This record gives sequence, C-alpha cells and structure tokens, in this order.
Amino acid sequence: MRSVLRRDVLSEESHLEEVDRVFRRSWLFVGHESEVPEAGTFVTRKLANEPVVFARSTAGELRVWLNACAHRGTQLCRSDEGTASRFRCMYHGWTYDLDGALLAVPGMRTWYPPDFSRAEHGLRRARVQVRAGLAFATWDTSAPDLDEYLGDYTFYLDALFNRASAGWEVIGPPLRWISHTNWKISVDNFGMDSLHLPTLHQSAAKLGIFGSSTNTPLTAYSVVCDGGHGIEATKIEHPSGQRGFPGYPAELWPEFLANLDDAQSWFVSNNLVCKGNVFPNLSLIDLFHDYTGDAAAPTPLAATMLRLAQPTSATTTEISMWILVPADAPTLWKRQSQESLVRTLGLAGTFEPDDLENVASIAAANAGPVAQDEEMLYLAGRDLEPIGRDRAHGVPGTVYACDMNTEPMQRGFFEELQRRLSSPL
Amino acid sequence: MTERDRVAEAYYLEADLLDSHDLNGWLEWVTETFRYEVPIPVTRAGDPTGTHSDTGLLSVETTESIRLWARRLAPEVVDSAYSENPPTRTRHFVTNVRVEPGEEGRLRATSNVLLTWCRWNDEPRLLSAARHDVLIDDGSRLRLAARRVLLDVSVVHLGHLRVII
Repeated sequence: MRSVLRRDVLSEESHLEEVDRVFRRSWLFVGHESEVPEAGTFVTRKLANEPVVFARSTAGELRVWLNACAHRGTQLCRSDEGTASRFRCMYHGWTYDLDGALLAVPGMRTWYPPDFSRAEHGLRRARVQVRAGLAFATWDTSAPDLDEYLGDYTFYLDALFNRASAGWEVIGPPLRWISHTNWKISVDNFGMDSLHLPTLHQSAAKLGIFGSSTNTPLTAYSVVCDGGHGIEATKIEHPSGQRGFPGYPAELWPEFLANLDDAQSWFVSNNLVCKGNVFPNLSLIDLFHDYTGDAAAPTPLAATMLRLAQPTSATTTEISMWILVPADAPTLWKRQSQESLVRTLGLAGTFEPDDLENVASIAAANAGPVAQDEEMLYLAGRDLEPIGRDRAHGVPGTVYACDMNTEPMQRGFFEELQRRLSSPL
Repeated sequence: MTERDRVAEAYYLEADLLDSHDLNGWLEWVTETFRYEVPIPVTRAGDPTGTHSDTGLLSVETTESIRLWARRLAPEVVDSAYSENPPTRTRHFVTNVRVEPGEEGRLRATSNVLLTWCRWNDEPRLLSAARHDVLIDDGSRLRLAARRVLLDVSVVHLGHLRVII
C-alpha cells in the first residue's frame, strides 16, 4: 500500500468500526507487572474503552475484570490504585474477591430466590497474559494466546524487557493526558515515524538534547512483523563491533549481554533510539539523551517508556505513559532517567508538545469532507528491499536498512488494520 | 503592607511575566536552586490526603532546565518550537494567597491558580491548581525557591503542559 484515505483515519464511522473490530478483538496493554506486585494490589484501567480492574489475586494470579457490579452495574472500584482483599458494591453490598468471584450478597437467603447461586454472578472477566513483564488483556474469548498474537514480536519484547536480571519496574503511576487527534495518528507519530526527527524536533538537536553527540555514522533498521507490529533501531555503528548500551549504568551491561542471545544483543545494543508499536496501540521507546537540563546527570542518559494510545473518540486519544527502569539500577540513576523522560517525551517536555501540536493540527485541518477525501501518504522507503538474514543477524521479521528509518512500519500497521476491518465477523 | 500582600504582589507580577511570555524576566525571580514539580494526580478512596503521587511527575524542572526552555524560545530556535510558536494565550488568575513562616526565614505560601489556555482559534481550556511554594527574601525582594503544583484534574486536557503554572 502507499496511502490511506484521511476519511478512514479520522471519521466517526471508522472510529466505531475500529473499537468493535479491532480493539475488542486484540490483546491490549493493561499495565506492567510491577504495578501490581503483591497479592491484593490493583489499579483501574480501561480495556477497549470499558472500565476494568487489573489486580493480583490472593493466589498471585493477574486478573482483569469489568469494573461493574454483576447485579445492576454499579462501578465497584472508584480509585486509581490500592490494596484490597474484597470489593463491596456501594449499591446493595454484593461483595467480590480479587478474582471477580461473588463471595457474599447481603440478605441472600432472605430476599433472593432459593435457586440464586453466587457462582453464576461473578464479574465479567477478560483474559490476561504476560510477556516480558508487560500484561495484556483481551475481551475476545476466541483470540489466540498472547504469544501467538505477538508472534515474532516476542523476540523484541524479550530483548528489551528481559535483559535486566532483576526485571524492570515502573516509576510512579502513568502520566495521562488527552491528545486531540485520532489514535492512529498518535501511534504513527510516536511509535513509527522517524523522518520527523530533524524537522519537527529540530529544536532538540539545536539545544543539544538529543542526537547531537553522534559523529559516528548511524544506520536505521526497521522491522515489520506479522500481526501489524513493528520496531526500529537507529544504531551507532562501532568499528570495533563492541556491543554497548549507551546511557545505561555500565555495571548493568554485563547482565544485559548475559541475558540476551546474539541476535537480541545486536538489535538492542548501540542504539541512539529504538522504538516501535505492538498492534494496535502499545508503543515503546528506549533511547538516550545527551542533556535534558541537569548538568549533574550522566551523559548520555538512557530512558525507557511505554505509551498506550486509547481511542476515546474519532479525534481524541487518551495517552498513558509509563516510565520504566531496570529494578537493579542505582536509585539516583532511576530518578535522573525518569526526569530526563518527563522533560522530553512527557507532555511538558521538549519533544512531546511539538508532537501534540502536530497531531492536533492534523485532526483540526482534516475535519471536513473535502480534506477527508485527501490521502495520507506512506511512500518513504517503498523501493527498499529487505536485507538478508545475515546482515540482520537473524532477527525475526522483515528487516530494512537505511540511513534514516523510513515508513515500512506504517505500511505494515495499516495493512494489518485493513485485514482486521475486512475480516468476517 | 502585610506579608500576604507582599507575596500576592509578587505573584501578580509573576503572572504578568508568564502571560506576556517573558520567561527570561521570570527566571530572574526564581533562585538558582529553584525546583518545580507537578506530581501526577492520584485518586484513592478512603485517602483524603493522598491526592497526588509521591514518585510520579507530570513536570519536573529546575532553574537550569528552564534556561534550556528559554533557549528554545530564543530567536535562533523559536521557529522550531512549534508548540510555543505562535504563543499560547494564557492568563493566570491567582487567589487564596496564604503565607506561613518556614524554617530559616523562608516563607511557605499557598495559592490557588486558574489558568486559561488557548491556542490560535481553538476554544479556550481551563485548568485549576493549588500551588505550594517556598519563598525567600534576598534582602531587596521576594524570590521563588520551590514550587509544587497540585492539579485539580487527573487526565490533563490542555494541548500540552509546557507552561509554568
């Protein structure tokens, strides 16, 4: 493909169809394991725009259930996070455990029919599975397991999020804001597009924040995986062939290398920036900055984030941003890494506001039928042939190489979207 | 003039500087070690004081990092400061100023702020917050040493948060 109609990106009809045919049938990110570390801990989230509780049960299992009482729909949990062993509905006192099972109904024997069975009135549950610490859930009872859904992308999630021996942890709850654009435009801009770096983010280069310390040549590798997922790594080529993790504490490099196979360590080492997207809307970025406003911080300084773009309407998207650090990194480094991301890719940073301005302008400029008749073009890199397996060090997926990441990921994304929208109900 | 009047006057002057986009002028009233934090709002039933995260931050800046911000708005860079060029129309309405003495001659001041925020021809958006500040008197005037902004919204609806609240 080479383009999509703006109408198919921004119309109300497309939005409704996508929520139904894509979001209710995909594995969607609900949170990181470290957000519910112990039995009884929970957070509230949305799954395909419907409110859920994401909890760790008494037995240590991850659970995702609809945050609405089985009796008459009252919202059970009205907090962002907490610890509980029970959830008691404020309306009639129906009480559930962390698995969503109905434990108690006040007056059950007195007021309810004799054949009333608690076992029949548990909360509606989503399936929940984890890969590399990332918890996904789906409403689709017939979807394949998560690993099959991710396919080749498990290699990349493992490479990024299994390399720290003590795992990764979130710092704080997610940052949340509204992006005044369609979710696909947000995902394209953040998770897939790199050509805008020297233009939209020109100020970051001029200010010495990002990309200014690299005098060595860069090579960009874009990977398209089946299922609409993609990832790209912009590498600083080292003539020595040494594999490093610029911006991460040096004491972690040996464990990173030990926990990665050869292909994985090639892909996630020596990166200026590695970013991508799990179809449909979970983007990630692992990068380093040269300077973000703290002369006492290390330089380079690496940071990692996950970003969920939830479609709240055809032209609004709720963004959640999780900041992740290796659990065994030094405490000071963790704080500095967090601050570097807040000052760049957070909604008050030097990158994100320009992205927000850009994507809001796309929604605002293309609201009418004349504009929606136009196309969005995805032409860059269409003449590139995939590189061979050797040059790609055996990493899975279709791999392209260029001096700048071009647009094969976007084409893969929209091809998958089209497949989902035209598949039988 | 009471201490509260003095602090309120300083806040009104600050609002003028911010709303006229004079970030360099504003940088002259913060101390060298100024720290600005906007913690992530958190809602927890049964926890009336735990309204904002202890660890998560929506914005974190210092005098040093805000100088970077001012450089972004300087003539040689401002053309690519797209979210701030053209400038957002903002107006800070500062009220409910209360002042208490702090340690070592510092002042602990709290105030409410209503920020109106409008880009180009969009509809304006409103944001309210409490500000918890530490001020010092450097002998000739009051200066801002620290600010913590407690937002009254949990999912930020402004176009971005690159604004000193």
